[in-house]
Amino acid sequence: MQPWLVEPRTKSPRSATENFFIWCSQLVDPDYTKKVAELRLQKRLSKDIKRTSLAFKRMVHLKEYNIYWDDNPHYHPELYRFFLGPTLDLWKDHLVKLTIKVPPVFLNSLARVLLPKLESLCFTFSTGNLPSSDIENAHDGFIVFVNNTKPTLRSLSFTSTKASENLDMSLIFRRLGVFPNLRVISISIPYDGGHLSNPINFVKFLLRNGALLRELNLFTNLLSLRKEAKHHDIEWIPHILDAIRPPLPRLRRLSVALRPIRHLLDAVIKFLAVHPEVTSLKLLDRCLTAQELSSILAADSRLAQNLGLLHIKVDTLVPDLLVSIARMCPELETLQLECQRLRVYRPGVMTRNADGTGFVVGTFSFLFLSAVFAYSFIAVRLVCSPSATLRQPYYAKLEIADTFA
Amino acid sequence: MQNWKLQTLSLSLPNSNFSQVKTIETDLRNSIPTLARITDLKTSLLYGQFIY
Repeated sequence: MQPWLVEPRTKSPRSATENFFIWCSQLVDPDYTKKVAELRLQKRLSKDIKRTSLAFKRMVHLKEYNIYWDDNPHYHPELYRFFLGPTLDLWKDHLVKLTIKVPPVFLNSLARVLLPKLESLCFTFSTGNLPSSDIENAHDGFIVFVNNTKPTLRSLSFTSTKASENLDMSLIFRRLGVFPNLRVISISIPYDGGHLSNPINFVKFLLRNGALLRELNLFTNLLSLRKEAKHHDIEWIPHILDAIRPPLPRLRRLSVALRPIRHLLDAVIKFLAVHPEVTSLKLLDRCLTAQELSSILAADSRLAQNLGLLHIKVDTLVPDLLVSIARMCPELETLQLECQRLRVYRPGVMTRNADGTGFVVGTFSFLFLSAVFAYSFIAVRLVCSPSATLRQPYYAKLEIADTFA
Repeated sequence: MQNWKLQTLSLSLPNSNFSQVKTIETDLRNSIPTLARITDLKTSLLYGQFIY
């Protein structure tokens, strides 16, 4: 559900009598036309809410609800008020998954909402340029709401938008309690760590809820707009991985952004060494070399043997890479590869070995020649047309990839 | 590779057209017998749906 903007047509006077009446009214009240327009808007909003409410009441078994705000500062508070409290009350007995992104001023209305069946909560922080104290006040009710879901909550996902200038999620995690059934924790914040000044607060929250945790996702998004460098922990991901002690005993799925890009991979290797039962591993954001991938998979001898899903980003797709992964991960069922380019060998050469290992690459040579030709063509185009748009990046949409994970 | 149990391979292959993808798909299917699905990482669509 994305609340909409109502822009009713401004009604213009149609007769001399009506014009005269408006003129007289404006003499008495200079804001007469504004008030009439506001009344018309309220009437339209009431009508919309009534219609939507009737439709919602028929959805008696609704299990998933997503309310989305597009960060537009112009919105109708009436719609958000209706789409949060009353609507959630309507579906509270069946709602299993809730996804929320709303203006912060409405979050306190969640304090009184009880969702006794809720298992999955995805929340996006979008606080704009609100000062820190206002952010904390605005999220009081939200924290009460989240803590009230603890009997049933199995998956908790927090995302922050880069426009949230003064957001510090460390304060949020400090105030969250124990969720005895939590299985999945995901956070996605700007890669510079601008929204998590103290990663240890997050680690403490993790350890409070780590007994049954099966999935941990540490994602990054765009650079934050926060200006004070003191709030930045650029190495927030390595710090989190290093600080998780004792290991999470039930962890089976790990998605982690390999940030900072040029940082050593020690933290993730050490983490995997004590979590060799991981069966799904997603290494994001950074192009890995074959050697780096081998180092990670060799963190523990059981790790590569256990893997059923592997997601990596590589610079070049070469047959040897697939051969190498096949050797290291014999039980792998799903492989997700983000590649920058293809590499080929001499035309017609096959790399298949006598024992059946190896990979057919003859056709890759044709692709290589095609790619060279295409690059030459693009280069000429760019030189001839300085305003030409460079090719778009091709980042994978992780949520889409998850659909077939 | 012939003994690999891989069932799903999702690729993000920029700067490649459907014809090139089809060529790669053929190579991969020949090399990995258990491979059931090759999908586009960006769209999650089966390549086969593009090609045929």
